[in-house]
Amino acid sequence: MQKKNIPFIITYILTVLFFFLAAMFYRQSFLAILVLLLCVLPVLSILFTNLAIRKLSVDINLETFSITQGFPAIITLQLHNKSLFPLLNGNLSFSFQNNYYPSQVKHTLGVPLEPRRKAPYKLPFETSKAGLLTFDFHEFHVTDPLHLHTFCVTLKKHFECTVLPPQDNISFPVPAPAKRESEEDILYVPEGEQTGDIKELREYRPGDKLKDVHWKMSAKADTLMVKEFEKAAGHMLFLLPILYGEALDATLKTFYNTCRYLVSIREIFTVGIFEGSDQTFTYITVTEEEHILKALLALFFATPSAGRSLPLAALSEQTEDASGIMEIYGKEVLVDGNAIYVGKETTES
Amino acid sequence: MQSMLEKRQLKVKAKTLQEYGVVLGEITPGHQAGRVLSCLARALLIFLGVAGTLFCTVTPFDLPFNMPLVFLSLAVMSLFVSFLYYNRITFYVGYLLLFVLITMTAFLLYWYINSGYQAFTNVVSAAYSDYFGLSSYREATEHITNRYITVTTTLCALGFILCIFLNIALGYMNLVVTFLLTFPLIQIPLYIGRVPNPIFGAFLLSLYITVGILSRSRHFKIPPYTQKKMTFLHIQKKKKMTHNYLASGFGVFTTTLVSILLSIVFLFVTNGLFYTDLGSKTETNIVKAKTDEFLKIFSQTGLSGFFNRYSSTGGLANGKLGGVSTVRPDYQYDLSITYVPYTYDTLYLRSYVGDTYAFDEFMHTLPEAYDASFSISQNDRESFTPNSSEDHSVVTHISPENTSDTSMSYKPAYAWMEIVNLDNAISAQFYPYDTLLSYANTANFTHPAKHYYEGILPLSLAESDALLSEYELTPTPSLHAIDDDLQAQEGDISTISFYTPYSFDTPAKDNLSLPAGYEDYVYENYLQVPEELTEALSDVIKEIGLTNHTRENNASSAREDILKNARLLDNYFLENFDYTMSPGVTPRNRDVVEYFLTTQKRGYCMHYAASSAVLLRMVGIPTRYVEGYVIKATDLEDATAVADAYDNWYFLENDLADTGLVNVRITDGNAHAWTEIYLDGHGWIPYEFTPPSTGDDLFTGGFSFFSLMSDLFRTTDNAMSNLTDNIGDVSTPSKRHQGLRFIRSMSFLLKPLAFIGLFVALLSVVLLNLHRIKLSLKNRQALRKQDYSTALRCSIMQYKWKLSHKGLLHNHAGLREMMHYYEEKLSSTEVSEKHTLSDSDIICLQDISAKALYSKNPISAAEYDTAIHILGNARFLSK
Repeated sequence: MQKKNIPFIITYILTVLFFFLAAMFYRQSFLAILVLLLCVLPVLSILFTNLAIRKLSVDINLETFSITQGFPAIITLQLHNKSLFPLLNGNLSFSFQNNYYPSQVKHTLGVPLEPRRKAPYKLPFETSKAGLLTFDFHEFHVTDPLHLHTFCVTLKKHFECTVLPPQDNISFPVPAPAKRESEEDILYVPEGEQTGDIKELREYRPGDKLKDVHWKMSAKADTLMVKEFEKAAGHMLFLLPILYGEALDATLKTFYNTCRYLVSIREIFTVGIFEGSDQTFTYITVTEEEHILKALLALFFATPSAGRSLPLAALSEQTEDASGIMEIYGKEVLVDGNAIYVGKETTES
Repeated sequence: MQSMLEKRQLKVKAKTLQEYGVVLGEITPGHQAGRVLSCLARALLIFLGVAGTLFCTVTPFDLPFNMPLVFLSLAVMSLFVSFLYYNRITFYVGYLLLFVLITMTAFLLYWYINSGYQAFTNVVSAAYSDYFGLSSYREATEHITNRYITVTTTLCALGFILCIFLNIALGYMNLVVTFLLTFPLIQIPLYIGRVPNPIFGAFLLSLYITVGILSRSRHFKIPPYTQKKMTFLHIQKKKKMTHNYLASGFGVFTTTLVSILLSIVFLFVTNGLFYTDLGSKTETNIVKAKTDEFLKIFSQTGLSGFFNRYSSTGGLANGKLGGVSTVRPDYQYDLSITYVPYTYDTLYLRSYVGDTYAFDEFMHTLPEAYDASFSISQNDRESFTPNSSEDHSVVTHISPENTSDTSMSYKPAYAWMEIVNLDNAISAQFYPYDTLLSYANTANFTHPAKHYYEGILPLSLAESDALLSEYELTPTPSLHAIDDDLQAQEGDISTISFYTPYSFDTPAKDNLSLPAGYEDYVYENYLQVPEELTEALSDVIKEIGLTNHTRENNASSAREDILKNARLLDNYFLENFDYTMSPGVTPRNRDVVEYFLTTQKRGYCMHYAASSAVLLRMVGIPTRYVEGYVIKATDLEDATAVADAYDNWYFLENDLADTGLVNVRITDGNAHAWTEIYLDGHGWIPYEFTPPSTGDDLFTGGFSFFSLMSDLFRTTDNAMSNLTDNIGDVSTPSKRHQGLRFIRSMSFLLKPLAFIGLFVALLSVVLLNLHRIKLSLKNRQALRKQDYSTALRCSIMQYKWKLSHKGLLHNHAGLREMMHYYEEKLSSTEVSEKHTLSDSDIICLQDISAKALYSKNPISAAEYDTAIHILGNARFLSK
């Protein structure tokens, strides 16, 4: 894509005209040379810029796709001008945002492209809130030295990076989950669902997962011994993170650390992710660390709620008994309205 | 410590982080732009600018100076000023040092710099004078005459100042300011067609190109000294945030080198044009003519020439005083006088008489003077015409001694003076002192003479007409008045038959021809002084020691008293005042005479004549302000001898042994103003109060800022070395013819434009198609070697280039993208071309291409042909 800069072209033409008139009236050789030079320069300027653009390479990479809050997400930008002509007016247009805090700001990075030189740049994006960072690199403009013509190189690169809340070791007495009898209850967990509790050790049967093998006992028994887990008794902990208002960031932190705590004590739980736009829920069962990240990611994609009590109200409509649900809002974990855990005051990073 | 900018940026960053949760931190470039490199790059630019400007300006004039030393000092200065912004220490210490250096230079080397500057301006004035054909030009005194030293010193000093200003301009990369700092100076030689060395021209051109390129690039700024680690400048405007890389020393260097190369190549290509003298005085136009006028004034009189409130050509001002900053004679001939010199004293030819002083003007308001009771017989008169062969033995030699016999009515003695008016601007008649106009004659008519000139001349005369005026010598001053109705035209000739100047050595005698009551008339009408001046000038009168004059019965003692006062005043001027042709204008709220006597204390004849007239009036001595022309002894040295025999022109005994009939041409430089004093019982006498010019009117009495500045611009005197023949105006053809000739003369630009345009077009075509040409050659080479894989690769690359050139494909798209593009088009309903790639074509092409591109086994000729055939069948599909 190319763009002509009309104001500069007009200014340039007026300048040439001025010197032409001066040369005409005063008949000086130096002025005549200036006029000639001014006529020649735009052509050379655009021509050499065009040639240099063809040999330009632009590489953009995201170093890590997941970081912890307070740490920067780093994008490396590698520009290589392989021509002999310096390009002094390179502009990279990009935008970035935390999906919870949308930003309309468009950024432009102005860098020179020296001839035959690689120009690496590290762009650190400092974070202060958890969420999903999205980076969009749109295009790279190069304007010729006289600013008469702009050449555009389309990039259309998109990156995503999750910003995890900071880790904090928390603990609190875990309430017993409410038992659901009705299969239509969305919180209903049919029996037979495997829990994290080991019921017994038995011999290996084909089809058992290798991860369930109890290697210590197997070594003792000189045969493969597999852990058999307790089946779910038809009830499971239910976490309901409430993404709302200014407590959003604290909610994420509390949620993340609650999940980690529960996983550490081998509690299986379900996370209900409320989608604020259509007031629906996505359920993710968490049994291990990996699932926490999955839940977080799903949470990052969810639209925050329009009201504090909306998620619970919506859930209550879909269940017979909303008791026992662990609400996470801000730094508190609440069950039936009572805080079972209150986190420490968070300091701004 | 953080700068304000840093603090502001940190604040914005913190706010953004709080609001949006993410912010772009400090960008780290892979290689830091060294401040040293950036400063060096700027030093190079400064050096190019300063060296280019100074040497382009000075070298076309033959001024001696030490070029290597100036080069070296400019280089050192450029480095010094460019590193001022390296860090905080260099900033403070550097500027302090700068201040000390400038002050020391000003005090220690002031006269060297002044002399060097004056040397340059004198040479330039002379060059401009030659160019314009002026007969005079501004010349100032060089106190130190060794130009080699003074010009070198001046160049170094000027270079230093220019380095500082350029450093500031380049700090902002402002092309306009850079241009204004450099271009006007080089116009000094270029305007008059003096071409400098092209290398210095290349310096300047490369500076302009570099600054023009960098001025919009935003990457030339050396970060301020407090922001050592900050290499990016973050600016937010509404919803747009820009992060600009601040300093690219390498980029500036490469751009400068590219510009230098381009300039040198360009000058090499246009070499013929650069050395061609395009300036031609015949190819003039109204714009150049106006500029030429401006420059003529400047080269003649310097800057002060522009402060005249009204035009002053140096001729008669007709009583208007004070509005002239610098007298600017044009040195064109005004009068041509043929006569027989008989004395080396200055001959005064009186014209304008001012009797009433008011509002900075000596006006002529009083009516004509009395008639005197002289009579001359017609016979006597008629017998005395030029070239008459009649015997003039009837002429009696009149000497001052003869006049003691009051009873004798003397017979008049005659001499002729022919005055030809050469300048149409002059509308006055000129009369020598102590003569009577007795006869006036033209070729067309004769009229009886009057004893006193009363304005009987006709209003217009043809140029060839000769106006003959006959003047009769009188032993005592006669009463002259001027008639404003006189309108002598160019070419008028007045022939004065007799004359004699007033001699200061001759004691004044009683003048029996004074009519009764005339003296009363004089004392009633010629003592006028504006009231506001009496108080202002009373201190001056006391300082001079002038005594009040009262009329006495004893005319002789009255005359003594008057002359004593006149001498006191004369001495006062000699001791306390200076003569200059460039005194400066009188402020509008001050009276000319008062300002001159109390503040200015320097001026030319007008000032002295008017002031003395006013001062003497204040003590009761009647005076008049007179303007006219003078013929000095030096003018006689340039006179042209007309004839040795002069009997028909002069009938008295001549004190000069070696004399004859001569013709003297005088210019407006001979215009003069003096005072007439009335001596009781004697009449009006001219009195010269203007002190002689010493040729050096620089104020050396003390140091003042004014004198420091004015010394740079003040002229000493007009260097009227040799009167050259007047250069007549170039005959101007008709306007239409002028216009056509002017347009045709612009062909000097057409040829170089066409040449360069063709060159650039060829270069563009070659460069734009270079890639294709290379691919094509490689393709052919590969086919010759039967390397079909390479040949197909080249063909695909060429095809891709076509697509991207048409904007149908991205520049960096690969083969897959190319195939994808065709797949998209095939599935689109917009396809209208008949020949397109089918699915099988695409697959086939992909397979063969993949094999050619990635496989170690080469493709066969048949596969190559198939692929080429498919590519050939494909057409560019519109977007």
